Amino acid sequence: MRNNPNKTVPNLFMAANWSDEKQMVRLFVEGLRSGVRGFDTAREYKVEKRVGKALKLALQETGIARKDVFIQTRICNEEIIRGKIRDEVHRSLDKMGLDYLDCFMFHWPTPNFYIEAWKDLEKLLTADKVIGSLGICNCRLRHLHQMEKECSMLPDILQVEITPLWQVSELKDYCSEKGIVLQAFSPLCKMIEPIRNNEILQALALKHGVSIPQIIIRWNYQRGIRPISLTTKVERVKSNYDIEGFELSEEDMKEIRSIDCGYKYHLESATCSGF
Amino acid sequence: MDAHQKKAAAVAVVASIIAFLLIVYALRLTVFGSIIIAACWLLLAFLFLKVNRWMRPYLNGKEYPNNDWYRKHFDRNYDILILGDDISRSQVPEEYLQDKKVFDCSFSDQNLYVDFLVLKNTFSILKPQGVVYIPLRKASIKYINDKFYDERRYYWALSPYVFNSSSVSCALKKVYTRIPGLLFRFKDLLYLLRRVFVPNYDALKILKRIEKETTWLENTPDKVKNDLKINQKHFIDEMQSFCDERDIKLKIIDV
Repeated sequence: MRNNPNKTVPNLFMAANWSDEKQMVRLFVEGLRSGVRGFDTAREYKVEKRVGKALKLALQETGIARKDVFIQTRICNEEIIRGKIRDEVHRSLDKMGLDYLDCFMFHWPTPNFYIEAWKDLEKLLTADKVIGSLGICNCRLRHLHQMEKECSMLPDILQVEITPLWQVSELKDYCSEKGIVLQAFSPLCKMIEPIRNNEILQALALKHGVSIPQIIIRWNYQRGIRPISLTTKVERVKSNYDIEGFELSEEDMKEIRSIDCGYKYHLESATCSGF
Repeated sequence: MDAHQKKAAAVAVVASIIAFLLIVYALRLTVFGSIIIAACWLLLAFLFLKVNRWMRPYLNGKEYPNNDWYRKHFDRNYDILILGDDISRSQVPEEYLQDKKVFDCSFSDQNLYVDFLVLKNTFSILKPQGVVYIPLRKASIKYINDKFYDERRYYWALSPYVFNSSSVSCALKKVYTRIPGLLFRFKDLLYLLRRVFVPNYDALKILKRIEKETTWLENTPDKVKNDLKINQKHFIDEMQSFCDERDIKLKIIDV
């Protein structure tokens, strides 16, 4: 992390969901006990305040220190267009009751606005030490190329949809080359039918005696990608993140690679016009 | 008429006869009669909507494909996106669409300005190298300078309608036909009956509109016409570079 060289981006992340505070505390506690150290939320979800409170309680309950967890949040199109990035960062900090954020992100490369906003964020990173690193979500390669051309910093973290059906190999190579940490949102693709009934994933789950979500999270982990999983069920937190007891062989990884069919579950243009 | 259209026509005719008989009966019974008429009419409308697959869905201005919609409808990577106004679909040569997955976002009074907005919001549904067809008639740009032009039309104009994929089409219809009020249904019924009884009704309607636009253009001063051409070129150029950047193809069909 730029502003904190001793801290690294954890391997497993949990997305803060829309559950109530008590449920959120239970989920976070279970996540922390299962080895999750990364927590992800966004202004758009309108839960920053709740996440802050729940995290504080979960950390108290598990005895884990704040410095040992990684918290990131992001702002959406509206805020990026408004352009008062410094205010937005401080608003997030206030809402979450934190002194610093490990990563502050843009939810979208908002057309015509994200470059300027990113430059402001760059300035803020050096001037104001309240954020550890910078990130951006939902980018394609063309956005990163544009950033490379027009900005002085590339993001430290890039969060995009990565599932066995949409594996973004080109983007992954680019990120490895540039030292950008790649995070995968919706890694389980909501367990929709093509994932749930996929013969390769089913066979691998059977072979390793685990579930399909475990296979997918392990696959991401082995590729060096940080999966951000979202669940509202405590028991699933435990089972999904239990990926230490098995390893996917090169042959298994190759088989999963063959599932890629360019199927993207979340369509960007529906949320970010002209993306 | 294809099998679905025949089925729709048959159901509509049978339902109309039943409705008629019940209305005749109901006229002698005031309260009960009214209830029967209302129930029959609703039944008729329901049947009509249930079986009719060619009717263009109506909009309520709120429900258009956003991420919530895509979370319920899993079809992606379409080959073709059709923009333009409501006769666009019929202006794309059939051979271009054969065996292709087509997403039709054309709707009444949609002009190039609106097309571009719709494109910005929908292009992700296309696969890489997918094609956007915009059948362009001489007057396709005329609303740009229209003083009655209202940007809100964008929402009204957005009407995705999927064909060549019956399951998605049905699902879409469910979303887009939830408009209360029997007037819409009555209008649909009239449209259906016209289509059944007037040969080539749609083609005649399209010809009539093109004729009307040609007359409009003939009576338009040259200066305005030149402005329209400049506007048209400007939008097409902008759309072209937008598509190039996103690895999709833009094909303008001159009608």
